[in-house]
Order: sequence, then C-alpha cells, then structure tokens
Amino acid sequence: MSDEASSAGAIEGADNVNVRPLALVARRERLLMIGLFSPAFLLMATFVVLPIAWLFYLSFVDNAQFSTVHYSRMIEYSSYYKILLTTLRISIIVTVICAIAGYPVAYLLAQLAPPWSIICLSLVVIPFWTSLLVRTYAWLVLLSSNGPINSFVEWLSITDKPLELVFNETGTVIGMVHVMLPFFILPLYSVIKSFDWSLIQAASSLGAPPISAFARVFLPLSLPGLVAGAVLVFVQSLGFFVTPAVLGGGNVTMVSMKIASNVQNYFEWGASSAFGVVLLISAFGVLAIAARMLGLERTFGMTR
Amino acid sequence: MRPAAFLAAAVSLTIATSAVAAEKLSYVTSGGVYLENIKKAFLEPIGKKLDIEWTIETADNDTQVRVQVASGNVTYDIVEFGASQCALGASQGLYEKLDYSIINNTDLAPGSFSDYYVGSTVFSIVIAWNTKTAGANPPQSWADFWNTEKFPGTRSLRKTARGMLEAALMADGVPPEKVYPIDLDRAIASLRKIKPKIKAWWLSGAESQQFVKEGGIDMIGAFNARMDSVASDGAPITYTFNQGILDFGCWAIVKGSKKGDLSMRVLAEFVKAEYQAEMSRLSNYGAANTKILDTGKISPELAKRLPTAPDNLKRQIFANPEWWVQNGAKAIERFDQFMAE
Repeated sequence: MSDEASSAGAIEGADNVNVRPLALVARRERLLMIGLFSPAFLLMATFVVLPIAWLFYLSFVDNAQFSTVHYSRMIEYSSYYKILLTTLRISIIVTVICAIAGYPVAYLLAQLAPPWSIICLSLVVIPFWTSLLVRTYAWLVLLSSNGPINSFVEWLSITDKPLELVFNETGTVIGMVHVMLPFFILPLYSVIKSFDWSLIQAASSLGAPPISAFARVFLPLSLPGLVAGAVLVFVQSLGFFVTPAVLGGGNVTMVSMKIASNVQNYFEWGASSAFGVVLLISAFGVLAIAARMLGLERTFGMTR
Repeated sequence: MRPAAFLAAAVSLTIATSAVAAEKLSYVTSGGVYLENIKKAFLEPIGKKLDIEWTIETADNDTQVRVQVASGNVTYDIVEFGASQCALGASQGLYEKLDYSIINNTDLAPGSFSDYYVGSTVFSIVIAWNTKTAGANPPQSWADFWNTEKFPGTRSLRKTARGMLEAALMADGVPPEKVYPIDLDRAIASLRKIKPKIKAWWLSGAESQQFVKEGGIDMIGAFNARMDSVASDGAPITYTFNQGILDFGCWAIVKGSKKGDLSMRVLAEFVKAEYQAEMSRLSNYGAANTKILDTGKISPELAKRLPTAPDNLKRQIFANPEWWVQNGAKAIERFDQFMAE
C-alpha cells in the first residue's frame, strides 16, 4: 500500500518536474507557428485586406469629401442592379455547367492508370498555357453564324436557320465554361485521387448496389473537392471581362465591364469602387446562402 | 479577364533609333494597323531627327493616365486619344498646357487644337455594308440603317454613347445641323428601336473589322479607314460618307511628364504637314493640318477618299467635344443603362 502510494507520488512528482519544460516547448512551438504563419498573414494583410479597405474607403469619397453619391447613383440607374443580376446569373450557370461537365472528367482522371492519366491531365491543363484572348477569339470564329459548328448543324439539317451561339449569353457561357473547367476539375481530382476505394468495397460487401454505393459513400466524400472547385469557379466568374466583352458582342454587360466604363467616365475612383464593393458583398451573400444550404463546414472543405 | 489586360493591352515595344545617348520618350496610342502607320509616318522619322528612342505602349482609353497622374508616378510622356477623351482629360487636369510659341498651329483646322491638346488624324464613323449581301440596296443614311424592312440584313454599331447618340438622332429625322445639343431622351428612344436588330456591338476598331470579315454582319457603323483596311484585304465592304460622324485624334502631354520640353518639341514636329500627309497616305485618315495636299504626297484619287475632302466634309457632321465634356458622364450613364435593358 505504502509502496503503491510512494510510486504514485513519484509519478506525480515527475509530472511536476516536467510541467515547466513542457510549457516552454509548447510556447516555443506556438511562437514557431506564428513565425511560420506571419509571412502569409503579412502578405494577405498588405495585398488583400488593405486594398479592399482602401476600395471601401474610396467608394465613400467624392471631391475629397465624404459622400454617398456613388451608391445613390446605383439606385438612380437600374442598370447597376440589372448588371449585377446578369453577373450573378451567368456565374451561377457557369458554375453549374462546370460541375456537371467536370465531375465525370475528374472521376475518370482519378481512375486512369499512369500513362493515360498523365496524358488526360495534361489535356485538361494545356488550355492554361494558351492566351485567354486567343481562346476567346477562337470561340468567336467557331460559334459564328457561318462558322464550323453552324455549318455542321446545317449539314445535319436539324434547323433551317443558323443557331444563335454567339453575341449573346449563350456564347459568353460557352467561352467562360471553357476557361473555368480546369479550375473545377483540378481541386476535385486531388480529392478523388486520395479517396479510399476500400470504402466502396465495404459498401458492396454490405450489399449496396453500385448506384447507392456511389451516391451514399463516394459522392458525399468527394463533396469537399466539388465545393472547392465550385467556389473557385463562381468567384472567378464574377470578375470576367474579356470573354463577355468579345463573345457577348455588346449584348452582355458584366460588373467588371461597367466598372471599366466608370473608370473612364468619372474622375472619381469611387464611382468604380462602389460597384466593386457591392459585387464583393453580393458574392459573400451568395456564398453564405450556398453554405447554409450545404452545411457551412462542407462549403469550406473542412469535413473529411 | 482583367480590364487592364484587355483594354490597355499594354505591350511595350522599343524601337532603337540610335545607339548613342538617344533620349527615351514614351508614346501611347491605340494598337493594330493604326500604330504601324503612326510608327512609319511620325515616330521613325522624327525619332531619327530629334535622336529619340521611343517606348511605345498601346491603350484604347486614358485609364492609365488617370492612374499615373493620381499616384504621381508618371511614366507616360505623349499620349494620343480621341478628341473627347483629350478634352475631358484636359478639363480634369490630366495634361500639360501646350506652348504655341513652340508648336506652330497656323495651318491646323480650327477646333482641332486647344490649350491642352493638338489634333492628329481625322476619322469618321460611317455607314458601311457588305457588297455581296447588302450591295443591291445599300443604306444611304442612318434612317435607312434603322429601317430594317426596306434594308434587311444583320447590323452592328459601336458600343459607345459617343457617335451612336448622334446617329440615332439623325435616324429619327433630326437634321444634321440640329444634332447638338443632343436630346438624350429622343436619342435613347431611337436607339431602343434598332437595338433588337443589332446582332453585335463592337468595342475596338479591330473588332469592327473582325465582325464584317467573319462575324456575318451585313451593315455596320464603323471608322472609315478600318473599313478601307478590310476592303484592301479583299473583304467585300464599302461605305458612304453620308451622315458620317467626324471626330479627330489628339496628342497631349501627360501632366508631370519628366520630358515635358522634349515632348513639346516633338509635338511641334507632329503637327507639320509633311508627317501628317504621310500618315494620310498610309492610312486613309484625314489630318488636322489643312496643308497636307500641298506636300504632293497625296494622290488626287486618295484626296477624294479622305474624310476631310471638301465633297465628303459637307455630307458629314463634326462631333462636338464641348458638348461631350459637359454632358458626357450623364450621356454615358444613360447609354449604359440602355444597354443593360
């Protein structure tokens, strides 16, 4: 009994002896983490947070005075509201199409064996290295009323009139999906690649047919990749300029185009930055709604 | 994706004109075939004469100038834009005051220069058409262009308030001499009538050329020399100067340029008839200098085809930079509003 007590006491004593060095190690580790974290933090603060704060500040300045004129202008002219809606609508459509078209591609890529997986992956990535302008103008030629796609459709004699594929939202969406697809496929691919396939075997061994094994095991576990890709595509789509300008043929106006127009039209930066602020807030709003619908933690890829 | 990448398309090129101690000077203008002609007519000979090494950048608008002047970090020296942009920039303090004891303005067309800018080329937004698809019955006025029943075919206009408001008023029956001051409501109402028939709106001159070459556009309101250029490439395009909307390019020196004195001497060369005549010869654009025909560089045939030829001048109207400086912001906001409808 006394033996036991003394040995327990010895362990307690050893604990007390270790407290200080352990705390020291913990503190050092925390400092190290802060040290490792600080370059990224400083970078973000200097190049993201500060400029956005500056943008916000400028949107309330007119003639070097506080003013809400740049916001009241957006209420006075309904065009701002319509342009914002168009931008959000196009971005959502592009995101949905990217998800539908990109998911099977990412799935296939993750299934392929080395020579083919590398070939197919480079096919996905190659467009990255081609100039955006070149790709956009290539679509203009492909989609035009006497372009190859319409010639093919006419040859099939499906319609007697050429399809209106360009100089409208259709053309804009086609061009944007082409640009954005890799941004969807790559994050999803990396998640699917690390998927543990024995889970599917486990599901099958428990009697799940392939479809429910996919729907109830694979799909939920691939959601973080899907959401990461979708957020990436959506947010980037909001800022598109060249593609809607060229393939929209002037019939599609997105926020960035109006911002550019305002930079030239008004001497005050606020005229442009105010619309930027509104876009930023609307984007957060849409993401918040999406987060609520999907469950917040999934939106930001935090679940496994 | 970024506006700067598209609109400014800032491609820096440097032409070394002399190996020893040539002074560097930056020149900013729109790109494409226009820039090529500017190089041949102005930059190369004048660079040689004044021993200048040019740094050329391209921009379709003055956004960069605004950024530089606002930040105090000015790297541009001489810029060339459209007249309304120069006039607006001048009213907002973007440019240095010009010294007309150095720059000789006696031969320049009245109205083509001010305290802050001086005219370069003269161009016109004209009614052009595809001779294969619309050649049998071509539109001869903006009213014809607006009349889609009598003049069937796909159409394109410029996606800017400037020029299009004027065209819309003439289409609605306003006599050319009564276009200014522009009745915004009437102009927008007129544009609303043609909008459903406009297949595509062009933004850059290059785009207008692309539209008539490959975009399946039968009729277009576009810059005369741009249409000459596609026609000389073999595209079946021609145009009329009837109710053309004349405008001019202009040179200005950016406020705070570190080469103000040299820039002033360069502008003094730019306005001379010999260089401006060469530009007209190369590009089919008119010139601010009224004495270009005296240089002997312009053939009689070309003289007749310039927008500034007397027969053509009387069929066109001059855009009014004054009106645009005073009403531009509101007019452009209304036009953007109309485009988003």
